Amino acid sequence: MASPTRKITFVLNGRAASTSVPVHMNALTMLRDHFELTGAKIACGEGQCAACTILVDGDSINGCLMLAVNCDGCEITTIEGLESVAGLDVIQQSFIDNWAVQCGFCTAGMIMQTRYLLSRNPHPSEAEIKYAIEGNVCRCTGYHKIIDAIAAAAANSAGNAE
Amino acid sequence: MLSGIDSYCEPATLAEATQALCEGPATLVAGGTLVVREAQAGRFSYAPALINLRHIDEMRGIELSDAGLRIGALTRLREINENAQIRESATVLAQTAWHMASTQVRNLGTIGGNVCWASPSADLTVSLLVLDAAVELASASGNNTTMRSIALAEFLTGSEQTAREPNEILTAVTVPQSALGLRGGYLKSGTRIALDTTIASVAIAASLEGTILRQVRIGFGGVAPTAMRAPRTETLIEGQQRTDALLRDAAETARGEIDPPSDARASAWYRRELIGVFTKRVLDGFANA
Repeated sequence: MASPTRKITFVLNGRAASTSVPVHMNALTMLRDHFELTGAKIACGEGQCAACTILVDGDSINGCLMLAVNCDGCEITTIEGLESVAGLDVIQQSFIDNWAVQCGFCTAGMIMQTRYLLSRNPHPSEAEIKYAIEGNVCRCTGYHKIIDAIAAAAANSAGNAE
Repeated sequence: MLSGIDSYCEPATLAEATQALCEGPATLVAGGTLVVREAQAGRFSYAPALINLRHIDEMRGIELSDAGLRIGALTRLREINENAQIRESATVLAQTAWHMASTQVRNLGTIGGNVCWASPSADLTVSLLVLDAAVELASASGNNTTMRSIALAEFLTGSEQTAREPNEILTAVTVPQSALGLRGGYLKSGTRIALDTTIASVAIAASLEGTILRQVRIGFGGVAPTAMRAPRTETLIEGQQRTDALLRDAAETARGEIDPPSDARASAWYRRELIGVFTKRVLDGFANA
């Protein structure tokens, strides 16, 4: 017997969105298959790598572990939602400028996790940066440049805001 | 898509949820970090009914009163790590949440789900046991909702086994006033905590009067089917001066107090060593606090 489905309505990257999902489907699959937002990646599928990081009401979560039905009524932001008409987000630009991208598979998750970190802590120490991305695995092991990029993004964001 | 799920509901109140549970076998889901992960990996099968607890306000909130601390079952691990009242009054618990999983998982996972899953490698239950925690369970009787409270030590009956009846929902975890306001520390194995399942862990809460340790409460995780208290090590330390010699004796007693398993992740010998080292280190940290 097929799984029951449920209609959900939420805000996706600033726009109203609605779809019907099997109740056991995860949010990542829903975003990729129903909305063709493939920036968040399917990698480990069990919350161990965070390549699927998205923001739900501003909080970073593993898209692979959250039920899609729990998106109902929430504000969802994916990597596709960071770029604006003004251009790339300061974090995206910082990852480019600091050569923080190698194969690129972890990048969307790293950037979304950085967005979460900086929203709560605009001036993170190196230790705080490392703790924040502890759940994000870079299989190329390019962590040094990623940490540099996050620190630079923090410095640039702070400059813009103040 | 096959899932084994025939019906789904999102009850708005606890009463609705307990009524829904009367209708047959159900899977309860809160944050989903365990249920969703294990189901996707094929290690867990959904019951015919899936009950999503996300809208139940009675299961939310952190309250500190004369009776003690009450943490709603839907409280996320992130809130346990960050809540000022928990940091102040139940330091060992906040420290433990800091050591659990990744930011992303802590933003989803709940205390209720963690306690109900009852993994032998669970972190939270170790410090909750140290704080003499109890759990609140709700069930329907006729049209009413009945509550009962049971000590966590009795609730955890084995590896991934609890005393929760199929018609019950865990609504909150409580800590008595007598266990609050102590110093606390938690250490677990691993170099990258977001990725490491606990092989062995130590939680300690105690007061330090000058150099004298009092109200000593020690718990171990990962070394038995459930989290466990360490009465022999507690007795050895209680009322004693915090000296290097005492810490060495405490580590020795702690190693002798457990009978850990050997499995794919670690040998019994290694688990014993970790317990000794962590016991000493947590107590060391108290001196510097």
